Amino acid sequence: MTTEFLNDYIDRATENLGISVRPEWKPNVAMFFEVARGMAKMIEATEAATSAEAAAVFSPHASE
Amino acid sequence: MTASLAQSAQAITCALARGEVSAEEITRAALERISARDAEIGAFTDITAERALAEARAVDRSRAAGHKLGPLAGVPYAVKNLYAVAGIPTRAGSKINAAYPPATTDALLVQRMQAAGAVLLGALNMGEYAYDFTGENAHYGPSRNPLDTTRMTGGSSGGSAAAVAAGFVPVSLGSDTNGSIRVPAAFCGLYGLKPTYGRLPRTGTFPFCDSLDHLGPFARSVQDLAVTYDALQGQDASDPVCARRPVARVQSDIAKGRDGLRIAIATGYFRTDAEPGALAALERAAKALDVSDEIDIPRAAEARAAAFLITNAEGSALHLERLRKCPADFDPDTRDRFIAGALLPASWYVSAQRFRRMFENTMTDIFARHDVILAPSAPCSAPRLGQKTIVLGGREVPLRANMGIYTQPISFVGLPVAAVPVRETGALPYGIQVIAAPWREDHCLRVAAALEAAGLNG
Repeated sequence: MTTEFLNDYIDRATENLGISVRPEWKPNVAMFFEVARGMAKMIEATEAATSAEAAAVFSPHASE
Repeated sequence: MTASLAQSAQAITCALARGEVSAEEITRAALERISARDAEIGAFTDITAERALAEARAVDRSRAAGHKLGPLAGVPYAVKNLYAVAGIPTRAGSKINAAYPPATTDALLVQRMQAAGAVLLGALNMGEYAYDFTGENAHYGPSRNPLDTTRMTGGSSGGSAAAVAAGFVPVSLGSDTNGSIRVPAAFCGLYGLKPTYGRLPRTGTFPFCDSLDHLGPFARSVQDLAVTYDALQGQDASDPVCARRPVARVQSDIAKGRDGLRIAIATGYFRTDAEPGALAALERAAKALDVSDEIDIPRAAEARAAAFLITNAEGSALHLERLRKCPADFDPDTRDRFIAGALLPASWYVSAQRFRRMFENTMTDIFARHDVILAPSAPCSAPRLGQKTIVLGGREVPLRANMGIYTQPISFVGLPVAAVPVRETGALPYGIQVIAAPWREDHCLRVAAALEAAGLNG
């Protein structure tokens, strides 16, 4: 992902979410997003997305 | 008399039961210690002196009336300021929440501590919204390490560790999402317990990341840790994650030591990048337990990565409205991470949750062959306050992102961990994680007690 593309993504996504990002914050936001992207690549390589149940918790409760 | 009781909950309850001291005297002495030194340490954000004295007098009246005292009768304690305490705002380390109305009721674990006779002295400093491994805070200043006040306590439960290490209180409560009890315990030379995910109810605490949030205690001894943990147990339907399991008290088990437990040392990922002192501490612990078996936990790096993504995504979703309304009021060190987290594609988060199940299966297989695994808590001893980078494995890396490299893979699948300090005389301490299978906090604390008995903490 190029710096220009990433900055454009940050601009459009934050605008869509209603978050105002000051120009001086953007390099850090981009850096943290890039760290997360690297983490996501590691997870994608495990193929967990197609072979395991998600671990999110949800337990239906009967009314008593 | 009261000065000699500052360090031990067990000593306080015994002295109180014998009538050698009153709970009010204990409480006043603790408040004096805080008044004398907390400006230097920065452990407390709120001191509840009137409440503390009222609770102490209630304990004294109960004793005078001949009633049975609770297991923590007269023991001063304090809580990370993400626990609701009636009458004060639940800051969660933030400036934003400090402007919210004060809590009207106590968090459930505060209620349980009070029921056990403990005396609440106040709320403790922490990294903003618990997104922190340093104990630094742009709004309230850093909590400083009582062992060397130029150094970090670790975070995010920095004030919880500082308050115990400074001798203000013998026990405190914190929270641990990715290492926020285990890292400060390591840097401040304390014992800590991160129970199994779902063991202790989080009712009445300000969340960070629902999928990974745990609560737990700090103490200066395994005995105090066990008594406090036992007082905190019990399910609560208000927390949907809290397991419907019976209370499993551990205090009477810790004397069993390590006998019969199959213990292994984590190798591979958990030996990579640690500084020599951290590895030497692990070796000392292994030698004290006569352990030579090793286990290389596969995909630990991926487990850490998945924990990072889940934390980033859930934490950011929690704070989205605050990021919209008042982003400039966040601590800059957390704000930019939360904004980045709000932008993560949903598929990254879901894949991380799916990997969590995969890694849980890996750990289940490992715990079929072992009862306890030893690993470092942090790759280094306490860094200097303000330090931004650290050299690990010969590379200079961001400090904040790397203090949890050994704790994150473990809490990712909710395993119980006792944090145990290892310290050479005159040196800064390191921390060891004593990791067990889900719901086996007794195994963690038995091994922690064996290490304590071996005299590894300076």
